[in-house]
Amino acid sequence: MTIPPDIDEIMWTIAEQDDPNAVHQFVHRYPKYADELYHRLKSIDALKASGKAIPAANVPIFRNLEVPKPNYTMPIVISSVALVVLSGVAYFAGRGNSESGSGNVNPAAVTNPVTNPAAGTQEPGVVFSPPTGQGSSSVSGNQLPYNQQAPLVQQPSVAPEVPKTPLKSLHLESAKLYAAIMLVAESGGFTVNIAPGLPNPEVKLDYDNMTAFQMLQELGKTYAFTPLMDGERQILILPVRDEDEPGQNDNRLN
Amino acid sequence: MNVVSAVFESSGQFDEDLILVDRFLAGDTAAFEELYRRYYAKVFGLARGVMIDAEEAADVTQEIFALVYRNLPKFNRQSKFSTWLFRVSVNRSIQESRKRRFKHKHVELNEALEQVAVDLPTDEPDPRVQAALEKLAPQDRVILTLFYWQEMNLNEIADSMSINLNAAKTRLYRARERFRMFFEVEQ
Repeated sequence: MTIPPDIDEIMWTIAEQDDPNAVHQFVHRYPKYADELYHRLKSIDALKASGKAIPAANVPIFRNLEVPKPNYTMPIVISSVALVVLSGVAYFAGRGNSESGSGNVNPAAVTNPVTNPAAGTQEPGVVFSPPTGQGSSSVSGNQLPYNQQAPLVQQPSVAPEVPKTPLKSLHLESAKLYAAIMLVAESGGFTVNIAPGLPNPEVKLDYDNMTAFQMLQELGKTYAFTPLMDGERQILILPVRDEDEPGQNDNRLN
Repeated sequence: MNVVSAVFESSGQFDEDLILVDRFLAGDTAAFEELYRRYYAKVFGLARGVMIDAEEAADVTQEIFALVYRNLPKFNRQSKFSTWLFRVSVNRSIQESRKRRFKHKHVELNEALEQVAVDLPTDEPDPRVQAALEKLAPQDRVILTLFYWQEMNLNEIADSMSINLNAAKTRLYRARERFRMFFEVEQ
């Protein structure tokens, strides 16, 4: 039986709508297609019902939770080039000053800097979110739902010693905070892990004769994070969380 | 990218999923878990329609989300996140279905048919429908699943399958005809 295309389309539409009135009217008008319509209704009904019969799946735990590392390549390359250029400029500028007669600088003051300031800079009573203790995957270890706060704990009083690194100068007009942290850490030969929750604004860096760790501490004072030694050459960046911060216990977020 | 630009995809439509995408890309794994919970049922439903077998569908659903997890940095925001997710889901489900098609045991299905003909459980998909779907090409199963089970419109289906609207209409028409033919054989 050849069915005209327009009738064919109407029959599929009626079969999908499953409207008894429409079925009745169609059968009344085209009785010879009643059987055909009936078959279509049956197959579409079965198909739809079969989809509805599938039980709503319980959501299992997602099995892949490694954190992709943000792409720092371009900012690091640009910042590295800027660092090299600016270091050179700073070196020659300093040398020019000393040769031009301002020789009153006490070399001992430059060559004996405080290279382990970590212990002295933490304010008493400041609390930190805990490091997750998974080495390089410390960021991924934080698997709390986003609307739950990590428990706040007091930082252990004994921190790993900060290795001695050379003094450097760094001047950057503009860079993303993550890129700046990576850049500074790499200049001291450190690897760095950034805990979740730290914002990534544009920052300006202007440091002279400081170790990489000192630079990170200074940067942290401005952008609310704390660098902590997390292994021999590894630094953990923890955003500072204030227990009294408004919204921390806001139930609307839960 | 700031928040204001983040939540609008290129066509200017508000897409709140993009907030979660941005948070995930900034290192917040909980944001991905939220996307996962939000879309698990839909992706599983699609995978179930294509794979037929529930266990295989669950495996494929995990693979899809793992793929999305790894490739989210490449998401170019030219479409809504959900559209992109469905595109990934459609492609992956078809691939997996082709890979596993020879592993399906028709004997088991026929046995199930005989049993169910006596007493059809109401909370399980109709095995006659499953048997008919089994005989279709994966692309046909995809379009029927999206249209009849996920209740997506033809525009959304066209986006999810990376085809134009007319192609989506034609494919739906043909898939429906073929399904009906196989379904009637199973009766």
